[in-house]
Amino acid sequence: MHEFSIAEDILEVALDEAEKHKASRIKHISVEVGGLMMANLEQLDFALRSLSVGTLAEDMEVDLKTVPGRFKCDNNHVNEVSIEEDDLYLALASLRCPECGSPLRVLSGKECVLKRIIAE
Amino acid sequence: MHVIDVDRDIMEINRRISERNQRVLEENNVFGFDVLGAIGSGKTSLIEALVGRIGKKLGIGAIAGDVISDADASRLKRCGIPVIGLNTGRECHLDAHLVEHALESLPLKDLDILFIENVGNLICPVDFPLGAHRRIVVVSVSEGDDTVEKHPMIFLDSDLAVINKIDIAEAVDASVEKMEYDAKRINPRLPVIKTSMKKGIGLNEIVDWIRKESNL
Repeated sequence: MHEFSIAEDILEVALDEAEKHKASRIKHISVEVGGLMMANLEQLDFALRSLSVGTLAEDMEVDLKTVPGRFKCDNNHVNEVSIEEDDLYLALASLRCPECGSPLRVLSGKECVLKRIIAE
Repeated sequence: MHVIDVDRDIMEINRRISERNQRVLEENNVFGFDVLGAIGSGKTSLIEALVGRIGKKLGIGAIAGDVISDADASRLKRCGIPVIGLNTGRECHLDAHLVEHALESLPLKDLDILFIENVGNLICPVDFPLGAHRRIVVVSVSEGDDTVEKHPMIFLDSDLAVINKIDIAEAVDASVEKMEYDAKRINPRLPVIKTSMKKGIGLNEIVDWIRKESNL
């Protein structure tokens, strides 16, 4: 259930921003979750909604989007490979550079970015 | 109506604290190892065994994370090393912030090596670096020999894999070879050491690895 701790951090940043802009209510937040994060979006959505009760963000719309993970080959033969979320976990176990067969390193996909807040 | 473009990576909060933790360790000449793994895989036993083997020559300390209880911290204290027990309460992983506070309470000046034992879990701790220099993942045959292939991210993100309880593999119908093969398939750079903490198998290899990585 580490979705709760991620949700807590998202909400804290969102509430801080709302306060900075003297907003009285957060109507909407959009968040991009890296495809290599071990986070389940449904649980994250649930955690955000649960934690926002009684705050300026209660009943906000939550827009969560996955951004594919990106990899780079050791030999720089191939540069980046994008994998869609559904295939990720199956692909990870046998992931190799399509050009030279060498292992790949994670470039990005472990971020969870609070993109935008709409407040009033 | 305000549209606020925040564009802030939430995971950066933990990452920044973990980098600060690593700096604190380095300022005190301490080399940190995360010890991750499933419940009952042998994380605490590994630290106990290592203290027994290198604890006289090197200053060892530990942070022991548990959801509730001080069972692991108490076991490690009995080894005679400084230990801070961390209870996460409802959380399934340690985070850098909790570790930051624990570091304040440890006699870092007296330490060469710090082990940070995470909560027993092969999923959640992966996304939360704590500030250690290397990650050790411990699995055991009694979790089933498909444990490795089911948790690729932690093997992709670790620096050493320990497959423990190999002495009982036959009794629990597990193939140690399959577990090792899966770990190497997921992360070909990953050294894999097969152990039995109970029987002392493989521990010298782990000591060698620890000394090589920490230069101690």
